[in-house]
Amino acid sequence: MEQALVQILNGLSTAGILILVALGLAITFGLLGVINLAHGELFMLGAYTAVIVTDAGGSTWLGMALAPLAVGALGLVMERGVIKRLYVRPFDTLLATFAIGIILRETMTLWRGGRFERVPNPIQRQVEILGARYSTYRLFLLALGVLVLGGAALVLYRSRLGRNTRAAIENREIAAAMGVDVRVTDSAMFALGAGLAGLAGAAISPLVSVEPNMGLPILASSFFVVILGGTGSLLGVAAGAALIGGGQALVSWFADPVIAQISVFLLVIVVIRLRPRGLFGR
Amino acid sequence: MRVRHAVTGSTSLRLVLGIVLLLLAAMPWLIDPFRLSLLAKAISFAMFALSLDLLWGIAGVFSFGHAAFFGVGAYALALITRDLSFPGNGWVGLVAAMLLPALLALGIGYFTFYGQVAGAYFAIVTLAVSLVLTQLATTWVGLTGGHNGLFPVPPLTLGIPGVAEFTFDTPTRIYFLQLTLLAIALVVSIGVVRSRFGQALVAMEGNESRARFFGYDTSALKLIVFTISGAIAGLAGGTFATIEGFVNPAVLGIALSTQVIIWVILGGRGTLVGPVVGALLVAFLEDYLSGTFLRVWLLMLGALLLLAVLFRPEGLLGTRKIRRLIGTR
Repeated sequence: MEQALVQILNGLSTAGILILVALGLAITFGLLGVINLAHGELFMLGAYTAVIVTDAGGSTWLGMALAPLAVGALGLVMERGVIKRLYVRPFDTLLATFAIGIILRETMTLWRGGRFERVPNPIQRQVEILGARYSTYRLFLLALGVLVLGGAALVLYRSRLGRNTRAAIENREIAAAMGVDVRVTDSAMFALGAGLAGLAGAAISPLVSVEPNMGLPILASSFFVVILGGTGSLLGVAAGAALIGGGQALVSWFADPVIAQISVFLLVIVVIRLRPRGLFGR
Repeated sequence: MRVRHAVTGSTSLRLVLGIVLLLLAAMPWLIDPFRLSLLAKAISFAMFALSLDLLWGIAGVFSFGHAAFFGVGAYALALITRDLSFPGNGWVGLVAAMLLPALLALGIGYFTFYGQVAGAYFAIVTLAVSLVLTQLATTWVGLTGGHNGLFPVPPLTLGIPGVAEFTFDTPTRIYFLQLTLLAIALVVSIGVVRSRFGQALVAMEGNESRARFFGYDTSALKLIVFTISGAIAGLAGGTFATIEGFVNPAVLGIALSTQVIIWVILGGRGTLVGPVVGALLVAFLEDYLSGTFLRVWLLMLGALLLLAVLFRPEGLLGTRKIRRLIGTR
């Protein structure tokens, strides 16, 4: 019973991180039509922000606050410098972001020497839930995911920028004709997606080893989330994250984590076959 | 008819190709054995680049994890020739190195293409396949030897078992085997492109909806070309395994998938010959430069890829003339 509860909580806290990463991915893909293959590397840079801040004597919280800003700024540079030129050639954005991913990864390998680095866990305590002891920090991750999801919904559906963005997705030309500066919404959304990846990286950094290649597996998982949940729907992202995170935790309860990953992958393949637009896609 | 026209239409290019072939055949007498075995290995990469170009350049289906097929081919051949020493195991190894990746491609392709998984989504699925297989190869130590990999992979023995067998164990022998296989793969690929099936692929690459309106089953077209491409990639991986004498999870991994994309881009996608040249050229540069730039090699490739995408999307060597010769334009 306790074991089961811990596994469920593990799944949910993984889902919290996946929400953050996949949300950024879904925003850039669903809203801009850009598949950002450097998203995993932006996640990695978020984690490194936390490493650098804590190395310099700052707290993990400070790192977590600075990561989305730093990585979001980098996203803005990426969009302005590279992506903007490629909106007319959508496929090439795939290659370009892939190349940027390599550049970021290799730069960090050169700089940090490819060693594994750690960030102190800011909440060492554990809480007791129904008799099971559980890491408070992991619960915080789940809460963070839900909170950010709500925040994203607020930005998209309640703010002026969000309204302009939705108009630009619906019809770029008409929105531009109505006075929406679509270049601003493009840049803002790309930077927002990047910032979310940075936040996710910093948030997970106390629980994992930070190294330059940490972005690739999370990129794959969050793509699964987006594929399962369908693009352009925030609720779909949450449901997809819960399914992937929960599924991986559930299978790794009685099998090897690699088997868990493979079975999740097979599940995604089957879902794609049956529901190409995702489980919750319209 | 159109085939003959395409070939006779460009004598100068045929001349260049003839000289290149002659030069390649003379290589064993021009360079030292160590360089020759490097070149033989690079030919595996050239075949690998060819397989991706057939899929991506010709049919417009992009695979981000193409090393999955290369790696499965490498492991298949390594396991068979290392562990089973019955007569004719070289043939079985080569066939398995093509058959297993082809089946893998068939399986993945069936679920994705018939699920109408379009371009970018498909690319992500292949990326995930490559990641998952890498992890599988790392953790399933009993079969794959884990991180340490499989060794020694013996040299290939081909021929008629018990009558006329031949072991490819010197750099010159391996090189000529490689050159022959590359030539076969190239001829088969060009033949595929020039066939009715291949021309349908070219049409699909140009405009998929239009190809569908003309009555082509584009899902089936993609599935078939993906399977062929997987088989060629597997053959490339298998030959790589026997030359290297050793296989580890890196043959399945993202770095190799990245490199093959770069070779295709640099050579010019959709030209078949271009990516082969691209792979050989990059291998040459790597051998020449990596002493000084080993640590920044991937970084340089990434930067090169970004620059190529931004400023030369048709590839550095991709010319219209070569495309016409192959029959893709």
